[in-house]
Amino acid sequence: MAQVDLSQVRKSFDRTEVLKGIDLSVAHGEFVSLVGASGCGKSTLLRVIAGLEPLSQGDVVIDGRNVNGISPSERDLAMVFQSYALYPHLSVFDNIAVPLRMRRLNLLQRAPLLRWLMPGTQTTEHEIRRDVERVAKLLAITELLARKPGQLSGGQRQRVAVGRAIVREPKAFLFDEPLSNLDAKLRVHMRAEIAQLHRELGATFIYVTHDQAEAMTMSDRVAVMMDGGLLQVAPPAEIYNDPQDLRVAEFIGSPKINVIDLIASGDGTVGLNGSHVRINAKSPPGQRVKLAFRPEVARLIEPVAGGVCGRVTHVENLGPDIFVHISAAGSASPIIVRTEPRGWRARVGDNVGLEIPPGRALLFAGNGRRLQGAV
Amino acid sequence: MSDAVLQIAGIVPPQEVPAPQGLRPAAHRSDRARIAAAYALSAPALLLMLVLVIAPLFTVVVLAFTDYQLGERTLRFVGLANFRTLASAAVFWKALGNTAVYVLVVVPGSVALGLAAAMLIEGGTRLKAFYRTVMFLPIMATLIAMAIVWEFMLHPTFGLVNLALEAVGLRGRNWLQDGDTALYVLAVIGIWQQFGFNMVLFLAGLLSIPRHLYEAAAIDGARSGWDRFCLVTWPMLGPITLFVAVISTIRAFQIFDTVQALTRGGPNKATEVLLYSMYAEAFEFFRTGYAAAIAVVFIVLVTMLTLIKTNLLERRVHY
Amino acid sequence: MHARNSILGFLRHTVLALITVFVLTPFLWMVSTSLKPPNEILTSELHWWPRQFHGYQNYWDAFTTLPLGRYLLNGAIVTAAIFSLQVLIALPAAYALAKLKFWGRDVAFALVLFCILIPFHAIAVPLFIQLHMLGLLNSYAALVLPFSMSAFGIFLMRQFFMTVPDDLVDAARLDGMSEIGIVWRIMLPTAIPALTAFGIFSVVSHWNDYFWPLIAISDDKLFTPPLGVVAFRNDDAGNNYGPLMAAATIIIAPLVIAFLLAQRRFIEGIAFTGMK
Repeated sequence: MAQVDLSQVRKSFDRTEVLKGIDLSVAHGEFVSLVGASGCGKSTLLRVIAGLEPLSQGDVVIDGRNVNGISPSERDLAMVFQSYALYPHLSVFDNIAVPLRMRRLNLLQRAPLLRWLMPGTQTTEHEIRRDVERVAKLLAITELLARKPGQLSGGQRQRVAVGRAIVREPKAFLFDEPLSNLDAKLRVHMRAEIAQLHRELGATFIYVTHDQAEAMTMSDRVAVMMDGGLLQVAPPAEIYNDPQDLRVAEFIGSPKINVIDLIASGDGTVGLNGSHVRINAKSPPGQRVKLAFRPEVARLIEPVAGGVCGRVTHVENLGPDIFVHISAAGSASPIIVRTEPRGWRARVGDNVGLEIPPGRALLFAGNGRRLQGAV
Repeated sequence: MSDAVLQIAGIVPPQEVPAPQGLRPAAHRSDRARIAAAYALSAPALLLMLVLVIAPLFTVVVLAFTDYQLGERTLRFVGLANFRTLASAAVFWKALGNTAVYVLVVVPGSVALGLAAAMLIEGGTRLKAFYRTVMFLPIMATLIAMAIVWEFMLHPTFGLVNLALEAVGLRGRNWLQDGDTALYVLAVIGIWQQFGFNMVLFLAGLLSIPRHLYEAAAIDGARSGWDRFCLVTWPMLGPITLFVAVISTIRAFQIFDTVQALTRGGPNKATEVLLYSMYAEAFEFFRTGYAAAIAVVFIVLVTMLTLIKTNLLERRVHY
Repeated sequence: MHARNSILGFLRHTVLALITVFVLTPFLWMVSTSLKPPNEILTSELHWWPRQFHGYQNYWDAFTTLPLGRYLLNGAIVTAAIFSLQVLIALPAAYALAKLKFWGRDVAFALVLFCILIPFHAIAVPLFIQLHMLGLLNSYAALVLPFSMSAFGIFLMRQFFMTVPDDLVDAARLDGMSEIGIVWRIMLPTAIPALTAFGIFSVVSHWNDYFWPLIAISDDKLFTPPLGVVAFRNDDAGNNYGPLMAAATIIIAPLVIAFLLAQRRFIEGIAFTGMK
């Protein structure tokens, strides 16, 4: 297993800069997710690490070795593709065996009929068989070894793709949105399996996804990307509770975090629930600030003068949670508050107030950067 | 009172609801009109199919069993006589053999050249459209006109080929008049004319190979072009290659133009091919019945090949 | 690695260039000869560019020795007529096969598929006899009629029409359109891409057809371009290569120029129909 270091990685396609100076260190055995909306550059970054795209500037260092300019086949990495990229004409066994055969057999030992006449082929093939069967057992696909990819379900193909990756014991594993093609239930199941796999192998995983739930549930650290740059790299809890950028806060968490526009008052505070919250002096009076809070943080109360209030426009009953949509001044989209199924139920048209514990609210400057505030 | 109530009361027996059927009888006027229109719309085509294809097919098979000569007023049924004559005619077997040789040279040649050209064109980034256009030209250019150009190029004294050979010190031959070379020369012309078509089909095939397979191969350790070819390109192109081979075979079988215009089957039947035999028998010797027998042989062979092709087309989606 | 790429790139261009030379040589030789005077043609010296430009003379001879212009016109008339008839007959039938339900439809479609299997060369003799009996040999009708029904065209169009949503047809019916109206006013416009592909295929194969005109036509006023150029060669004393090459150039020019102007369409058209 290896450490992967990216320093000031830049990548441009023609004149468009797609990666704008990425610095990232993935520790040995760590599971890091690259997450972001479509087009943010996460897949490109993964491909640059794999060597499938040359970078324009910067360095990729794997296990202490600078791999710039080294072809993918020499980097000793494994990759699981979104489309799985299984060889359709080969059986599952042969698919998983490909990387081993490429590495351990020379050209003549791989030649179609000639190979069985070459010395050493038999022994190596035995070893290969042993390794493939071991991996198949680990992934519970032993009974599929004779089938072709066309005869497998989506989940099974995914396991074969993973098997092909782990059979080589590479320095690091790269995953390019491997669960995107699966249905929702299977995705949830596979998330747990991949996390389990990571624990068993203790390997370095770099995982690209646009689904923030995947990133949050599986990773040691989450790297949020947008527009070719890294916004924040931190463990999931920190990303969720302590986002350093409004865009990170908005991307992570479902339903989306609520944002209210406020104006800073003259004495360096912001009005909130009638009390004042002291904010960083960097925000001059009259400056726009954004107050953000998660749906589960706020509480519905009777409307209070001077506090945040609004009208209920929609109520979603999900069973264990009820999400109340409130149209309020200062927020362009409805504020969503999570309430318990028991107790007082809000109804569409009610006027309600919001109680937001200041300690759990997040303040952001007009440009999206996080401000520290205290009551 | 409604029927339903009366039914419950037991007074009126329940109506029988007609069971849904697959094809309802055309009860409505619009349905009937539509069906009438369907017949009207397809009638011309069907009629012409019968007249222009089915009837002639039937006729040619029947004629094969007669001694009909074009221009005669009567004909006699002679059973298998034509076929027996065919089987014992050295010329027929020579024609069949020549056609086979021609096919065996042209098909591998044009398929391999088409594949090589397609891979070379796709293998790089520069001038793709230019090469593709150039190599497709021979298909557009009227074969018979270009055949005449080739004939002049192969002229023993003034032709480009011999002039070029002599320029490098080799001796030129009388390509089209020499029994040893004539058929192979025609085959070269055939390859020249056909490979562009195969190339285009291969290009489409190459473009349909998912790029991710090549990337997976690279990550799996396929270092050289040869590795990539063996692991991804060739297996993925397999079905298309077979398909292209069969189409090429069908086309090669139908060789006629170059033989009729350049060699007339000569010298000494060295380039006598199946269709030329049929043509000569029918339109130069007017032995129509005999020509029909040759046509029947031709039909059988080509139909077999076409059926193989259709079969392959169905199974092409087997991945 | 860059060096290796450059070497491979160089090899690629070399091999492609060699193939290009193989492909283009006949064309270049043809044009080159068409511009040379006889003494430069009938020589054992190999050179490409004429020392004495004789082009005007050769091309003039080509057009005047035999009515080449007439042959080209015949080619245009015949291919246009064939294609028009093919569309006229195939489109309604394809529509009926694709969109209408009627008894015998599957049999009819099977018939279409069967007809595609039959090679034209094999039924040429009976067709010849048919036309002979009708007294239609040696006429434009002889050149056009046998090809007026294209089973391949019907098949192609039917496959295409199957992909047109039924809703479109139903909407037209609700608007009161007759079935034949639907064919020409709804189906035809949507089928333009497929028709273009088929048109290219039809025009190219019938412009270049040598076999059928050879046996069906003896009157040189009706010669199509392929017959024309062969007639030219046969007529010649055998050594008039300049005008002969000029004639060949003229004959292939229309299609080649059309191809160069619309390469993508042509290639797609031929490949698309070839795949089917």
